[in-house]
Amino acid sequence: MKINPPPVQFIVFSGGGGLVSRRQVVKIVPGLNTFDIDDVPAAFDPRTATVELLNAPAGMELVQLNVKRPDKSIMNQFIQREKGAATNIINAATDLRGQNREKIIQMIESTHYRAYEDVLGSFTAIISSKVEKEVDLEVRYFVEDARIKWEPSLHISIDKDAKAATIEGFIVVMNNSDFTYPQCELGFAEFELERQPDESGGYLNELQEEQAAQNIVPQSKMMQNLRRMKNLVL
Amino acid sequence: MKATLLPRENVRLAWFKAENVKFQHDRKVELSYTQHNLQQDAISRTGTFQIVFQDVPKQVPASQIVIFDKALGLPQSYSRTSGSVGPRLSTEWQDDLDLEITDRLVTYGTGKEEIKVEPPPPHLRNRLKEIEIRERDDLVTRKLVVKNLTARPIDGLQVKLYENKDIRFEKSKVEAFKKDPPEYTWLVNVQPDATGMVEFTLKLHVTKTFEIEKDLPPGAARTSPGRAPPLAQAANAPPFMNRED
Repeated sequence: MKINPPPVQFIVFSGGGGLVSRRQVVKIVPGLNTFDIDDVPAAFDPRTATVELLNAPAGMELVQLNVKRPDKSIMNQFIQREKGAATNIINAATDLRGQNREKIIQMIESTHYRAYEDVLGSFTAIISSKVEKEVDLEVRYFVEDARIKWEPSLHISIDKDAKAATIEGFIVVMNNSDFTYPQCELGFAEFELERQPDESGGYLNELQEEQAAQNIVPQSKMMQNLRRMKNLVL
Repeated sequence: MKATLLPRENVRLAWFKAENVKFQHDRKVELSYTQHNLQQDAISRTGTFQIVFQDVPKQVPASQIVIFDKALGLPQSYSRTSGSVGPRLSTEWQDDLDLEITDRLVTYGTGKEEIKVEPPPPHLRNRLKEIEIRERDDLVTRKLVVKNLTARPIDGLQVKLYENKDIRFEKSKVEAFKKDPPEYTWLVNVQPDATGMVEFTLKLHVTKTFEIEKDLPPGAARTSPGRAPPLAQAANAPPFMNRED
């Protein structure tokens, strides 16, 4: 059965990527139950993928997890072809001022920036049960995508005469992936990293940097890059 | 906090707001000298400052800061913080444009020279007769003049002097607020559009080393095993070479 648990929590890491928790109530029937989880990005780290059955009764257990990421070179060929098609649409368009202009530009932009990490991976959970019951199924995985990250920003208004200040803290979250995380609880973790990512921009400062950040080559082994957690903002 | 992250979008989320946070400006000017700049008539110095906020209710990671003047409602400076330390949050040190600082030479007293003669090291004994070391301690008095360019008094400007192996602190007109060799700190308060100053004397240890070469019979050319100098150069060569440390 295909299921698409909505994200309930997303802890975004300062160096990029994050831990996604998705949860859905599923009906388990006696025997083997197979759940194909939809909308898992190919950027997910299969080693960190877990499935947990909350409030599961005795006799119900997770038997196995099947994870698969699509072939990178084949997908890249597809993506290149799509990018070529997007360029052709722009070149061949005689009038892009019509009603659908915004839609077309959005589609072309999405295609232009698409990367391997935006295609779908495969994540299947097989659960065996002796009883029939509805349980909460929670899926967790780390997304290795440097295009998703966060940065704090402070606005401080100082009154020099009264020697008092008003501090406003903001968190800027960058999601340059093709995935939507609707109304989920966000957390922000700051880590000391083994090596710093090549670039640190891409937030709301400079247009060029912001757009260049969409073309970052996503790094692998992002989890191994984490040395020590310094701070967690929830 | 709950939010929606849409594809290819930046989201700016309100995180916290803290009012009536007490703050102070920490200002400092750091002085360290070399044998060369200690003798200069005037040195233009740049102070630095940071703003330290006390009792900030959130632990803030390293982040950007935009500082606004409440009265003007305009941004004053862009800075960064390396993050909270307990309830304290401070900006990075930045150049202080509120102060004009000039470091002037007041007096330069040359000390009495002492001469020591030492035998050359074994590998130079074929060439050198002896090594002459001349040492003296010069006393240099300098005055740091700080002008406050603002309309508000500046309190507690830290003037930090760092000693090194040749330049040591001797005395000052005003007692240092903190003496922790090799670091000496004075606190200076400057009224608006006025000047403050710190005057101190430093001891400069000067060492000159001369390699005295062996006397040769008249007319004999001075040669080295590796390379023979031209005859004219050898004839005009000085009787000793010196090296200043």
